[in-house]
Amino acid sequence: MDRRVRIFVLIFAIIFVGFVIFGIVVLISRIGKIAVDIQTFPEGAVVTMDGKSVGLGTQYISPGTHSFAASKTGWTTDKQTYTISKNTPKIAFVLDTDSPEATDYMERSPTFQVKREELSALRADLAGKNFRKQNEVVNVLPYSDVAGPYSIDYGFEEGNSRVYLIISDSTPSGRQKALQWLKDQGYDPINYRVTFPDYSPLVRLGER
Amino acid sequence: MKRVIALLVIIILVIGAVVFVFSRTIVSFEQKNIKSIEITELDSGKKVSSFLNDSSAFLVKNTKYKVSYVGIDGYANGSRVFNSSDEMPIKLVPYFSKEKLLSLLAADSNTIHNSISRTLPDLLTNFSLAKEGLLQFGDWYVALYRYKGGYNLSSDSLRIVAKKVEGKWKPVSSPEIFLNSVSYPNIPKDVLEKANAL
Repeated sequence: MDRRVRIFVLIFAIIFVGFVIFGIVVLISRIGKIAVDIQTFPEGAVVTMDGKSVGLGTQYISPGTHSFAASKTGWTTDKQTYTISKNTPKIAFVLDTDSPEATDYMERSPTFQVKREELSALRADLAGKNFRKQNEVVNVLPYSDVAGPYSIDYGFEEGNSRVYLIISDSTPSGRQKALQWLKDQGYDPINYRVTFPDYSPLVRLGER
Repeated sequence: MKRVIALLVIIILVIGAVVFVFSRTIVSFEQKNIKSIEITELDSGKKVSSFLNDSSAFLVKNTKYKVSYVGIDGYANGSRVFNSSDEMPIKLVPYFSKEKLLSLLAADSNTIHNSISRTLPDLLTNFSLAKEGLLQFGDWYVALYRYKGGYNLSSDSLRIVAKKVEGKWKPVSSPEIFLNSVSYPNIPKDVLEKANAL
């Protein structure tokens, strides 16, 4: 084989192997992660996930619950907690104006307003899904068992998006059956504040 | 032709080595009072043998494993599930063994009962101690109290948790039908679980 051809084949092989290795490393770094399209309004905000900076557009994120914050000079910071799963192909952050420059930007074009509303709708939809994800127990409530006897319902905790459980219309054994029923459905009541409105406590530990 | 085949073999070996190295990560364990550890894949239950030394292993990235450990004398055996991409090192801290906790309870029970009756005088008037136990390093106490009177709509058994802080026992929960981690965020979940299971 001609010396020039050999050198050409060798260089080609090295470049090819380099590309293959790069591709494999990129693929491996994405193992177990989910492609999520991150969008902000206005464009170009800085987004952090669990305190570390992440880019915009398609990013590969480990599944699970993450705390995000999007910020841009002249705009308010949008903090959101999103649970990333296969059902979260896109997440959005919408910042409010916090300076005359930002207000000017908003007034510059009606398409900005449309984009903002689009992303706000997506964010609200995600918040709803997030609520149901964080409080999956609401999918099986309210529930009553006259034989128990018990009724289980839920209420909303003040100041956060969590629910608490209300076990009522019950007796001492019914209350234990209600707690067991929740476990049988796959929801550990230990993760929720549980109230028993029919129960009159005989003893209390001072003020906590 | 031979050279081309040799080149292809080298390329395949290099790619294989790259895939192997980049798909794995070194997982290290911080161990205290542990005799031995064993790692299994959580999904398949397959035992892992890729130990680099006594306290680290070369595991597939982003995969869930279970590490089971055997404690030295006086310490319990246990296990912990971890993801190979979690922050390292993975701390393995075995609690005291059942026998050691029982002997500590025997020594401390009067002090604990006195502290509870001092803080909650009505508890012992209406309820009697049914079950109790020490947990973790003998610094958590859980107990179940049964109602002494006849059956009524509020005659539930009650659970209580106490903690030893600077040598003194103090109840850290109200007597409750069911203890939850939202109302008691400072009590470890496994302590609440044990109290609820009494």
